[in-house]
Amino acid sequence: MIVSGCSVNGVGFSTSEVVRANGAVVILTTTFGGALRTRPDDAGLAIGYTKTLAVAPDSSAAPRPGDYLFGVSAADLPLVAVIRRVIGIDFGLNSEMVGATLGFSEDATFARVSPDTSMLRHLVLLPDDPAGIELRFCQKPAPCE
Amino acid sequence: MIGWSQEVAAITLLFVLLSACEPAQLYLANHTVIGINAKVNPEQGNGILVIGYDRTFEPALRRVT
Repeated sequence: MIVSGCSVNGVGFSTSEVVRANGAVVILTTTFGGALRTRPDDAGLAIGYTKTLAVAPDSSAAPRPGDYLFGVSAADLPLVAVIRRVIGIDFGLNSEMVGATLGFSEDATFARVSPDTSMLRHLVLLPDDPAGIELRFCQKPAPCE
Repeated sequence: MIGWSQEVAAITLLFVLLSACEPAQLYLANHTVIGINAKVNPEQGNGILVIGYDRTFEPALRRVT
């Protein structure tokens, strides 16, 4: 993958930085060349440069903080917020979007909730200060944990 | 010629309209495109073609199936 200039779910011709925040793990991934995404709700292919900020709850399944030369995958994590910038061509092939973008695009999603559930949470999203990001899940009427 | 009360009403209306422009609304997703974007939403059966600049905000929750 590295020789061919490709990455799959952020692993390959890419770099990642994992930052532990307040109740969350922040994964910053930069890819070059072809970047394939296989999550069902986000499947697609980007060709060019991508930079993704993904926020997941802090858990044992989350990657350890640090720098990853060939990237780290966040595909199996329950992401609560994602911001992705793409410069180049981005093909989307998922349940929400089928199409293509040429040029610059930024997609930011701050909540994904299934129709039969409810959620109360506290998220402070600071893209320029990943360590300052805060995530707390709340249960009514108790205060946020 | 408009009267004083009408002026006050117009100014009040202007402030109300401007207050709606403050970036304080809740939204749960946004999309920005500079270039060309063509896409369809298979679930909703609609599509969009953008040439140039476009920015959209989604105030509703995204449905996860």
